[in-house]
Amino acid sequence: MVLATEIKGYNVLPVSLPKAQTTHYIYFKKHETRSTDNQKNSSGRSIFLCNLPIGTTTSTLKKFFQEVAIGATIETFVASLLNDCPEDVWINLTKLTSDLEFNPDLQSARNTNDEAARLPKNCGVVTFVDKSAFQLAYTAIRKLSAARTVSSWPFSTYDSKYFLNHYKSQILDAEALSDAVSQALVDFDRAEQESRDNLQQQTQLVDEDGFTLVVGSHRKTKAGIMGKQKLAATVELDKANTKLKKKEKEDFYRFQLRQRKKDEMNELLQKFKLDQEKVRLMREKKRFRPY
Amino acid sequence: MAKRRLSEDGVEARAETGDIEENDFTQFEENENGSREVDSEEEDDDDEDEEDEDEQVVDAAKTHTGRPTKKQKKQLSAQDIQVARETAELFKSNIFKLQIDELIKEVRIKDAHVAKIEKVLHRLHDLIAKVPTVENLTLQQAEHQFNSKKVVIPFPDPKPTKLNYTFSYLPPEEVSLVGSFGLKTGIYQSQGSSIDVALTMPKELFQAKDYLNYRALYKRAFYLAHLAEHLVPLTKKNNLPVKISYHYLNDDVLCPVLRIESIKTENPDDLSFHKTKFTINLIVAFPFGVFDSKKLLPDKNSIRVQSDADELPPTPFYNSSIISMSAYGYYLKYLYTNKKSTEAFKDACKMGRLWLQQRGFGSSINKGGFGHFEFAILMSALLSGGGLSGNKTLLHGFSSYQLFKGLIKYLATMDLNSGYLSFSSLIGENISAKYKPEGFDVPTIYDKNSKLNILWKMTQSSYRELQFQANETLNLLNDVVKDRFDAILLQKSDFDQMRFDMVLNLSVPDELYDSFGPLEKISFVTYESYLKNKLYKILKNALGERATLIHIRNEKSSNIYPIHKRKPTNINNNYIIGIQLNADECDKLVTKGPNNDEQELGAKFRSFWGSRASLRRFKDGTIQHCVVWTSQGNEPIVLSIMKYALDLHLHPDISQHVISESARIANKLPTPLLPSASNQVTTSLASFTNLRSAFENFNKILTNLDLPLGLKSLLPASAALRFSSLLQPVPFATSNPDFWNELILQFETSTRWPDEISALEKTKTAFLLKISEILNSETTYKSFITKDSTVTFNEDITLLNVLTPEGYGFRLRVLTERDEVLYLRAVANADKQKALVQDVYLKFNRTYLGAVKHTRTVSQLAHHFQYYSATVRLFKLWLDSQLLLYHFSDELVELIALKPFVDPAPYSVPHSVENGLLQILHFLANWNWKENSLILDLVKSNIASDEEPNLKLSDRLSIQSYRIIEQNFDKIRKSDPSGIKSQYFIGSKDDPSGILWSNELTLPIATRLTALSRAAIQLVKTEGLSDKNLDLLFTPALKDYDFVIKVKSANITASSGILPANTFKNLITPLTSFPDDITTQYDLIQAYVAELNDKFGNVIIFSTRKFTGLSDDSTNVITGIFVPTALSKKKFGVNLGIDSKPVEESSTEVVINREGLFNQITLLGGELVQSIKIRK
Repeated sequence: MVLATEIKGYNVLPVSLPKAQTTHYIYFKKHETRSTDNQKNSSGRSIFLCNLPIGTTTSTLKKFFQEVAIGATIETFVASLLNDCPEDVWINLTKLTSDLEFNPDLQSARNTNDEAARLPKNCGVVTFVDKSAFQLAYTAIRKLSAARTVSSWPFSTYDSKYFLNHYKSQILDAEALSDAVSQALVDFDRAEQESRDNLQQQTQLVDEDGFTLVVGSHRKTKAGIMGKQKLAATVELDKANTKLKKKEKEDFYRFQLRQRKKDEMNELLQKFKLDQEKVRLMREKKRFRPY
Repeated sequence: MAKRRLSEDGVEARAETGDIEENDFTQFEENENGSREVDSEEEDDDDEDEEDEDEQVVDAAKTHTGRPTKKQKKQLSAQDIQVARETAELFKSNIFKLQIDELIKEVRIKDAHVAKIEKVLHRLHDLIAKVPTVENLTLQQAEHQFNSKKVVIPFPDPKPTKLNYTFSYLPPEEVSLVGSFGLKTGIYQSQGSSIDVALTMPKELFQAKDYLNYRALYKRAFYLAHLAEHLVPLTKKNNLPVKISYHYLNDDVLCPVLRIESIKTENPDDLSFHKTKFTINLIVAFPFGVFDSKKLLPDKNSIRVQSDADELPPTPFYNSSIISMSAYGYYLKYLYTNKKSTEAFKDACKMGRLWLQQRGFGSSINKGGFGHFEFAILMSALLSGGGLSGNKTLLHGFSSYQLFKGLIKYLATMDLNSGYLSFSSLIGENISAKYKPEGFDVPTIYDKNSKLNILWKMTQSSYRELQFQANETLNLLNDVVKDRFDAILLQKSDFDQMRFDMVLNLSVPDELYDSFGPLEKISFVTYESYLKNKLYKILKNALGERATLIHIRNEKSSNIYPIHKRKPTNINNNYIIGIQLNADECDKLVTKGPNNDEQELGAKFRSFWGSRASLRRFKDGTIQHCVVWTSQGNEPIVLSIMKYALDLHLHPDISQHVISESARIANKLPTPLLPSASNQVTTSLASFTNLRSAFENFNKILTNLDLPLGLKSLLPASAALRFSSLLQPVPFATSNPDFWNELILQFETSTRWPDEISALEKTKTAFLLKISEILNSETTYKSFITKDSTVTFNEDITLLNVLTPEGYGFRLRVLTERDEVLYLRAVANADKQKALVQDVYLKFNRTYLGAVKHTRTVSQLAHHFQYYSATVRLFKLWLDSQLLLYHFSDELVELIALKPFVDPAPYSVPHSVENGLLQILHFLANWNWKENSLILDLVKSNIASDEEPNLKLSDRLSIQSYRIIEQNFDKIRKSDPSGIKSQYFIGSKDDPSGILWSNELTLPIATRLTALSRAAIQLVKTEGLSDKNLDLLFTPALKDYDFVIKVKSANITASSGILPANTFKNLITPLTSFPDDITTQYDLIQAYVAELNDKFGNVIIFSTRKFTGLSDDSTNVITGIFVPTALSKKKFGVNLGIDSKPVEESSTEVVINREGLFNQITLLGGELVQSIKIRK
């Protein structure tokens, strides 16, 4: 059997899982990021892995690289959030519900989270401590791939304890939770405060036409105002329209009466036609067979 | 458009030209080709009309609108705008009318068939004329006339031995076409229909006294045999290949007729009509008025037997049979006159015929004795009166719909059993029909002229059934919201198991025949009628209020037998008893009798109930006779009562012969591990009520807590709290998947909730932490907080889990007024992923808002429909046994199960578990969800409130809201016509969107449910509900899946609150406390499946039994089906998300790595997996 060693620029790495006759295939590639905003530029030190076996964690990868490329020390491993989720894409509801900018302290944590959310299912990015470690690991697995050597994969073992722990992990420790919650709320308050301050600054600004932005006391973000304005416009319009309608007399002129009668009859006719159509469709579906 | 109007005009045209065609109905020999010509003329007329119409259409829009239907024409020409505005109502009758037209067209007998059969009838008529005469034979001579191997005289019982009169055959006075074919109200029937031809015996063969002691019947029997003997060779000679046999007309053993059936032959000259599916009944009739009808009144005796009694009992059945044998032609003329004077008579008759047929009614005795003939006569009578003072019930100008509805209403509202309708069939004289409130306690429509009770073949039991059906149909006809045409005329509803709540099979032992003495013989004529009557009386008395309908029927009465037999040989002693229960009464443990001081009634009561009757003093101080029943195991009380009464009054051990297959189905429900479980009736909600009160207690405690923000409400939102969880809530049963009951907690309104979803959830968590702290320190409740991932992508949701001292678990979710705003904002902001975010919103809506509303509605209905709770639980059990429950939300299942309760048409609200389950399955089997929505009106009573003035106050669905739901469905189907995205649409007032609960369903699962219910219904209908079939019904079809994993975990049956099968209850200790770590009792298999779904859910559809505890040996199965699209070769991309392997010699394509997948699946399961079986 001759299987390709490279698919669309990805190398194929065959691995074997414990107690199995068949082979699992991992696809990998050098990971390249557009290194513009990323201060801790990991580009050049990372490998993008695709179709990882289930349950792949940092320790799994550490074990694996220990086997195939001793000395290639792993810094981080980011797995896709979708690994444990049947959906195809990850959605960040926070971003969709608020445009608050969060504290830069949290930024890095959020960044990895963002990256994890962007990764497709069963994919991961492994980053090595330095370029040489990366090089070591990369050449090692490329060699394996080219030679089609099947190496064994340190698959994490599962048993009923795993599932029991899964249940247990759902129960949250009250103290830790309480700390986390208060920290998150403090962060949120701070973010909100900053946004409000920003907004206040804008009220000081006078634009070229000589207008300033008016901000209500409850307003927190700028986008909120825009949304509100859109809504207000439509509400006003509706009000005006209903007012106009109220004044109008509908049975004053004879033509109005006639028109109405005509409309009603037309409606009746239309309904009748609809009925006929419906019955025709029923007939086509052989609905009128009583037996 | 034009075509539609045409049929209207066509009716008129036909009515005019029809005169020629139909006048000669009595002498069909003259009618050669007449009717054919008329028919073709008619068609020509139609064509011309069409052209005319087209011109008019162009002419003016106004006349155009005015034309469509009769109704509209009138209204619009009168310019009655007010009426026209009530379009909703008009709309319904409009479409109803169109549907009737279609249906009548559909059931029309084919013209080709009519032509063929007319040819046959002519030939037959000629042959009858050739039958030679024979005169004045004695009995012996008569018997020797025939070769007994070929023809035997069909003498009725008792067979004559010595007679002092003679037998003759003279040519018939008249040969005429009678019955519906003669009247042209016949319809096409799939099982074939029969044409009645009456041969009237000449007057000179009879003497005035011949009505006595079967004399006329013996003469008739000879006449029939003679006819048969000569027709056999005559037909053979004249190229009319037929088979002739005797046939009891309408199951009346006094009235054998010749049944002529066509035989298929190769000879092209033969006139064969088997393709038309018609059979011909040659009925030998008496001349009208040959006997003094006064002597044949229902209260007269016409069979003289020797007896000790002073007076012989009347022989109503015999008398009526004799009269009706002399009145075939007479009634045809009467009906014909009415048909002429009432334009829509014919169509209304056809509708009536269909209506009766779909409900299993017919003229024959075993079918209730009310068929289209009785229907037509009643309609004619009502055209000339029917009210108390003879006021008219129906008018000649009525449309077919109005005639039909009027008649149904009459049947439903007037009691023809306690009172009776008296009319006169004398043509020409206008004697109005009157309803007389004082009757004879037998169903009666009395013809003053012929002295015949038209309903002579009916029994009280069949009459009650007819009245009940009429009532149900009247309600449907009054329904202005929904189109009910289907249920009224198109659906067959004669399946016993669904028609009745309890079906019994009774095989009567032969010894019982001894009780059928000579006096019984003359009043009941047959043993079957006698027995049916006796059974009915006993059961009626025994069940009293507990049953609303008692239907008794002979299982298979053979009424066709060969002409070399005197009567059918095989007698069937099996009876089917169908009972419709009264849910309020049927489970009562005490049958109350009269008060102690009522001597006479008391004695009667005692003599009926025998040793079981006792005197009891009740709480209110009265002392009453009564019988106390104890519920025996799993047998319904009603069944015990019936068995006892039959044993006592019919035959000492007849209860051994009573088999009720379907009652066993309820035993499938798991027995809860509760001390009270053994003597619990199926409808008992006690365990649910305990949970409910635990909730009330908790609610009180929670409201009194001192919190920074006050509580607004705590609302239940779980299956157990609405009486519909599969397992009954048992305290401390933590392995039960429904152990945790969700509650929705709402705080008082506040503006300070954060305006961002994650922070909002965090704030909620803070509140829950606070509550938890107080609960743990100050009360006996234990609580902790868990993560929740019900709403995908919102990972910050937490729930407060509370363990109550009573042993129940509650799970609190916090709802704020900001939640919905935020989710909706997310939907508005998501541009590319709108659909996905919408699903998130839907999930939120479901868990936080929908579940509360649903719980409120269902718990109300569960109280009202006593059998709902047990039925829905059994339905869930069935779904789980078929590995489907896993895919359905509880709410969706409950809504489907509600269907037969709120909208049972054409059946009625089920009052037993088996009836309920079958009706649900029947509905699912026939629900074409691609084309039809299910719109449920979730209210208690299903009686249309059309006469109630406070229509606005009722909480029924209004026509507007119904329309809105319908439009929602149309919208969905427009964009998704084949149901790929959304399958089941179930709309209700709680959820007009219709997809709230069914959104997550997938096409394969929806299709599978339909297929499985079809298979189940098919099985029950063809093979009944034996124990074996019942087990089969609850066994999953595993071979349909791509792979099956057998899994086993620790035994959790007892900790799920189920009494394990085959164990003694005293050996199992009931649960009394929570374990230290509650998670140890959870079902690990469910966690495994959840994990599988997370990891491979995009490629494989997994199914499993949700309730591992229900299996005997704590095993379970997990099955999988590959998503078809995942199996094909694919271009490689990182987004595939499928475990793949490269395809040989291709640098771009990959294919699913099946073996690798199975490997990972097995590895993930660890020691839970016992085996995996993969379909090749």
